[in-house]
Amino acid sequence: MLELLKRMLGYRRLADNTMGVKQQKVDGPLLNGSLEKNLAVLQTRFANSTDVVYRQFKLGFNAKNGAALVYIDGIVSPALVNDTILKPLMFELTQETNRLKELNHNNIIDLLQNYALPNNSVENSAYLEEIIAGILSGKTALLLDGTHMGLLINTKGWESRGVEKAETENVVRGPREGFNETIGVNVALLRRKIKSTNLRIESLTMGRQSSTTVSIAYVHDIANPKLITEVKLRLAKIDIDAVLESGYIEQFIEDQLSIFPTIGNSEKPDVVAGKVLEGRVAVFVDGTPFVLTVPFLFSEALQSAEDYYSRPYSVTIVRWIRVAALFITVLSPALYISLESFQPDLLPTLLVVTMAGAREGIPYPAYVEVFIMGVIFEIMREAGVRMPRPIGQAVSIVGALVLGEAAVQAGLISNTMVIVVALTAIASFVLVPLGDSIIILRIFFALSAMFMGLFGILAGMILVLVHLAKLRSFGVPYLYPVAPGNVQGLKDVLIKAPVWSMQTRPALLTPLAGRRRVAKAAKPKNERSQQP
Amino acid sequence: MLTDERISTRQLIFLLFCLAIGSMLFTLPKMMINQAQQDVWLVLLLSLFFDSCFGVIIYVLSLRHPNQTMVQYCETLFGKWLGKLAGLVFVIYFAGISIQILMVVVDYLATVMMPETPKLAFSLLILLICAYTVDAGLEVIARVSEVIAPVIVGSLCLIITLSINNVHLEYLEPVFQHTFGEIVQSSFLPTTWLGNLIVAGMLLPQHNNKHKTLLAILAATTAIVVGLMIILVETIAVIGVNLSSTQIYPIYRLVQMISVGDFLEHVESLLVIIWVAGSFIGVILTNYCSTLGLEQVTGLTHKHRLLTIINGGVLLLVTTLAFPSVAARQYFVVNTLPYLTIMVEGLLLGLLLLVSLLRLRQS
Repeated sequence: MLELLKRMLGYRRLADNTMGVKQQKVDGPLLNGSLEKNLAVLQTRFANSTDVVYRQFKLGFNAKNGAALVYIDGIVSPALVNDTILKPLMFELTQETNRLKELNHNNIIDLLQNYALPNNSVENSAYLEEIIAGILSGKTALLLDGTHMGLLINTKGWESRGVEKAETENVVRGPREGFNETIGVNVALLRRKIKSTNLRIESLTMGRQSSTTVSIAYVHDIANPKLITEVKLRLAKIDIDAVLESGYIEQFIEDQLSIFPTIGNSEKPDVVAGKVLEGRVAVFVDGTPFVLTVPFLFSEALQSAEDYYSRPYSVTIVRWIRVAALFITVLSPALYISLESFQPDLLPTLLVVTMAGAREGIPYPAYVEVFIMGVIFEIMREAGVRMPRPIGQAVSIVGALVLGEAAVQAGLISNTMVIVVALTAIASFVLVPLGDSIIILRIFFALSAMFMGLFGILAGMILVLVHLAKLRSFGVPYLYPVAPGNVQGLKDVLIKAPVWSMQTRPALLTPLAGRRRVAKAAKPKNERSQQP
Repeated sequence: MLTDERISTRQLIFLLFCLAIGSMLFTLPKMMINQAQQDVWLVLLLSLFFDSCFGVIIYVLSLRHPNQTMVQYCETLFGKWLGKLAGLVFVIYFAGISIQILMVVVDYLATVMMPETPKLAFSLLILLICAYTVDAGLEVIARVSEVIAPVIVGSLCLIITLSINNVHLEYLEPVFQHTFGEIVQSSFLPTTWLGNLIVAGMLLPQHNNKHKTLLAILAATTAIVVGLMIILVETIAVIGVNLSSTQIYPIYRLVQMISVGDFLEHVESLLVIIWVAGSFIGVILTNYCSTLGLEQVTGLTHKHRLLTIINGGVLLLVTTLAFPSVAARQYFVVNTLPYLTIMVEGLLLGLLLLVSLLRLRQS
């Protein structure tokens, strides 16, 4: 008996899991038969919000057929309202005199929905809450006197940014278009890249006040079904007031606390398409051009979209340069401290002399120098991002003085330190996805070098490495395919193998069936081309 | 703590490789060259043979008890109390290995890199990181080793190639200057250190490909011996037997001699600190094994974090207080440790095998 009960409970839980996304509950009060009362109810619900428009009119030039449109000004397109609702109902209907006679309270909804309204989406509903939700999302509600049903007509139309160049991910070669703030456009941009029924889009609304549309996209047969369920589950657990940007969701669905990003984001449809095709799941959020992709692995932070469009041999070098940049930007202040204060014997003698000469007369030890310059640089960087454009010039001049020759001549910092700061800064711009973590790591390593020198840096690196090895993104080890190692995966990490040689999708992301890419090995042969 | 975590063959090899190489490159070369001079390669080959035997014993035992760690099958084979005692011996032995590696590294750091920092600071820092990692589990340790092992191999390759221009082949003569008995006796020392691979007995239940277990153990042992052999022979060829047996860290001296193109100099701290990373793995892994063993002996499987901390604390105490000086420790390592190892690894393991086979016949 208990077993049976348990099994039933287990089954119930499983069923819940597979459903994942919360179904929107349609419940609550029904519409009233009288138009006056319905409007009154809506007016109390919307209180005195001035952007709600109530347009009352009569159907087919007949004073008995009272009707009203309710919509919110600004998120509907007036042209659509006029052309697809008002014009047919007020004018074209009058020409159909026979039909007009047949019209009564029972068939009016059906007739209007199926015959009279030339609009691409007309739904009927008897529930007040559904009507209100429709109005809030930009539909126009058509309420009729004498019926218990209302119609929701799609008239969404609002001002939005066009599809423009992605600001954060610049490429020399490759598509330029970026997502914008409208989820429909964003999903469409992805759909245009993957014209397959296997690309599945599922949506839900999130946020008690904001009712933001959130869509997940994945490629059926490639993405791991467990991953999809997990994403839905984690999304379903979120319960907040508003989702204003995908960053809100990111913090809710992370596996664990970490300074490293375990959820990726991108502004470019081609990047998202590439990731989805490798078995990842994309999360679109209305109102932001940043689309989340999960799982996100450390190696992805060192990749750029262009790597896949350029010739592979140079990309290998570029990727290693990025790794070098990571080490430079994170470790150079720490190395400076440890070489100045602990292990000057590591450097060639001449360099030690030069560096010591440069530091002569500077009134504080190397680590103070590093921290002062580090803070000043971070202030400059932050100012550079936030300041209004016209002030830019002033800031850069002052900044150059603070971080440059003048500071050296004043005897506040050494030449070497200026180079270290500049190197750190430039290298950090190479790795945009890791930008947030880099600052913390830099401070962490500078501190460990301050206490223990080179050994402190090593111990810090081991600690960070252990942390990275411990991290998981949606169950996938963060350092994959380096650790746990995977030879096929390393073709896209240690080197960038030519596209024809990468025949399998990442093994940990896809189930076995979806692993092999369709393309057969097609290594170019040295065929002697025919002279024309 | 024996969870469903699994490690791959490659990870097992890397783990064992890091464990042994991380500690063997520091003080061991001096003692070995001291004992065997130019015949050091022969000594290493012999120890490869001995340790392969240990490896085979561990493998056979793990075949007979595929889902049990060494400490657990002690109890299966010897009965409850005797088994627990034997298990405790292993736990202490693993902790002993941990202490050995820790002290070797801390001595190196405190004498060569930062003479003014107290040793306690180093051991405390290492053990703290170690506790954090042990807490994270075996898979994490394996992944870390997967990153560090290639770097160690890289540093060794770099040392070997960059030192070639300093080689004097005549330093390698005379060969075979020792009798076989002397060679066997000097092979005890490297056998002891390589014998650290006995911790594999605690990891094998978590190996995901049981067909390749033996291959992994032997591959790790061979890789370590071959690597060590090349680098020791090169050390002798570059700085000679006399100098290398008086240096505390002969390989460090070898790296100091590297000078390429008037630019690549003073790389010793950079290359040697990579080995310290390897010893981190060694300390972490042995610590993991002794904590795991302690859990299984005491039955406190849910108190894993507490036991990790206790274990770390005990290690810290012993490391700080056990030996009054480096010389005392060296004496212990040369004159006592090999026999202890033979007792534990030879006798206890042999006994386990024997009982296991006898029980097989019974059933």
